[in-house]
Amino acid sequence: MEFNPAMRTVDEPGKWLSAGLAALVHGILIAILFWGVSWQRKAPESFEVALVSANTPSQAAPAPPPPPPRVEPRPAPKPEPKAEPEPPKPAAKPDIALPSPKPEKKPEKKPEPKPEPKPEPKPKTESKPEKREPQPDLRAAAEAEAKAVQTKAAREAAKMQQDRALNDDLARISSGKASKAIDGWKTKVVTKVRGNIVLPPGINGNPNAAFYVKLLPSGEILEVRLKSSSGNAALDAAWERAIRKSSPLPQMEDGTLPDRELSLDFKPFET
Amino acid sequence: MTGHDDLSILSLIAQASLVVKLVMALLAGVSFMSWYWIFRKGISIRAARAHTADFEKEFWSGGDLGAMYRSAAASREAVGPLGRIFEAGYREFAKLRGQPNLDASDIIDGARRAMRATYQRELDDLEAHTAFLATTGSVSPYVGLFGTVWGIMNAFRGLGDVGSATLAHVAPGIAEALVATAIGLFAAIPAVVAYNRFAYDIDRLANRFESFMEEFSNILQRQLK
Repeated sequence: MEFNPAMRTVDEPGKWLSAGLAALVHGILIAILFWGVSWQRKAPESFEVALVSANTPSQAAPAPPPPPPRVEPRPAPKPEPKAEPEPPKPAAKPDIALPSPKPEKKPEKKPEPKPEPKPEPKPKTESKPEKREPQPDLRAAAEAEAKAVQTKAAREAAKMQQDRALNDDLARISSGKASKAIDGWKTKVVTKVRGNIVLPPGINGNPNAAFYVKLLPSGEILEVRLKSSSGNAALDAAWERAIRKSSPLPQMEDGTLPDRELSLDFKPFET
Repeated sequence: MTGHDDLSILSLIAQASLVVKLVMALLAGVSFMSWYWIFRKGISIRAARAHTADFEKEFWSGGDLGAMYRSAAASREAVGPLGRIFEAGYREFAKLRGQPNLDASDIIDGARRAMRATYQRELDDLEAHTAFLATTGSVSPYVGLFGTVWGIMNAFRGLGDVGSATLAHVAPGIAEALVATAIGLFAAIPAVVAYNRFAYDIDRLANRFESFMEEFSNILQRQLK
């Protein structure tokens, strides 16, 4: 039986092919896991985002679009809107000189202060040379200027209002978050107290008892006061004992307490 | 919401404790190796089946045994396991037939022993590394479970530091820990399926080889008369 070892080793095929296929299988699995799992956790987050956009569109829509057409004739006063509005009116009637300086100023100043009217300056410079000759137009021009100032002021007011509304929104959202956290904390407190109560026999219905609780910053209970009785003295006493037994109360997640005093409602049975 | 809401698979793995991470790394390696062997054994068993079918067709088409032996001996790689069994048997038969003082049954027995030896070697080659798949299939769920138990133990120990037990405190730890079981199952399920499939395929091939050996012995015996 002379078999030399070389005869025995029959090379199995597909070394690299199978390594590549194994890598491919794992790549696919990781991709599926990654997309699948991350997809599930994005649903709850979208709730908070939706709150922000609720009020902004109604304010944003009316303000910006109308101004551009009106501004076109005389946007000169824009650089200093509040200082100039009155001087132009008296000066316009006697002086012909007034309009001429304006066209000079306009091309210089416009590009700098306002990004919005940038596309418009070209038509203005073309139209101004024509307007310089007919003087009666000056009054109309002054009026237009005044109008422009007014619209400008109105627009700024609208903008401020918008900003304020946005700030209000943000404040509401953050306070909403805070109140959510406080609610969560209160639930925790109530849960802990509920775990410590020994309910007396003979409770009718599900009467509500409210307590004032004074706390130390560490969560230890200083004082418990009955605010409104449940109508069952034994039950009130049981709640008070349970509250005292629960000292120290749990803290919020950041390790603080939202308030030194709090009022809590307790019902013997969970609804 | 706190930082716990980020439950993507990557953060789950990144936040796990060291032991759980080691378990997951081990299981990932085992899983990769088991898939490697699944593909490699799959390829080689499929090739063995195809070669066997080809050789049986050629053998029973009634060609000259001597010519068939020469072509099989010239290309041992391409002829497949059944061809190699035939080659070993016929070589022994030709050698023994040349010796004067042997009777027919000795010659046939010698050829059968040679074929049997080659048959064992071929089966051994086919079955190589399927034991790895069997081990992966039976052990990796337990390894994953170990990682999960360890992770949950840590989650509960961390819970002791916090005053109250809410689901929000335990859930991320348990989710992290369960990833280990998931990886273990991912390694185990295909390994078990592939092992059973390969075992069945190799069994059928072994049956074909054995019946071929019996039939070939009969043919050799007829040649001696």
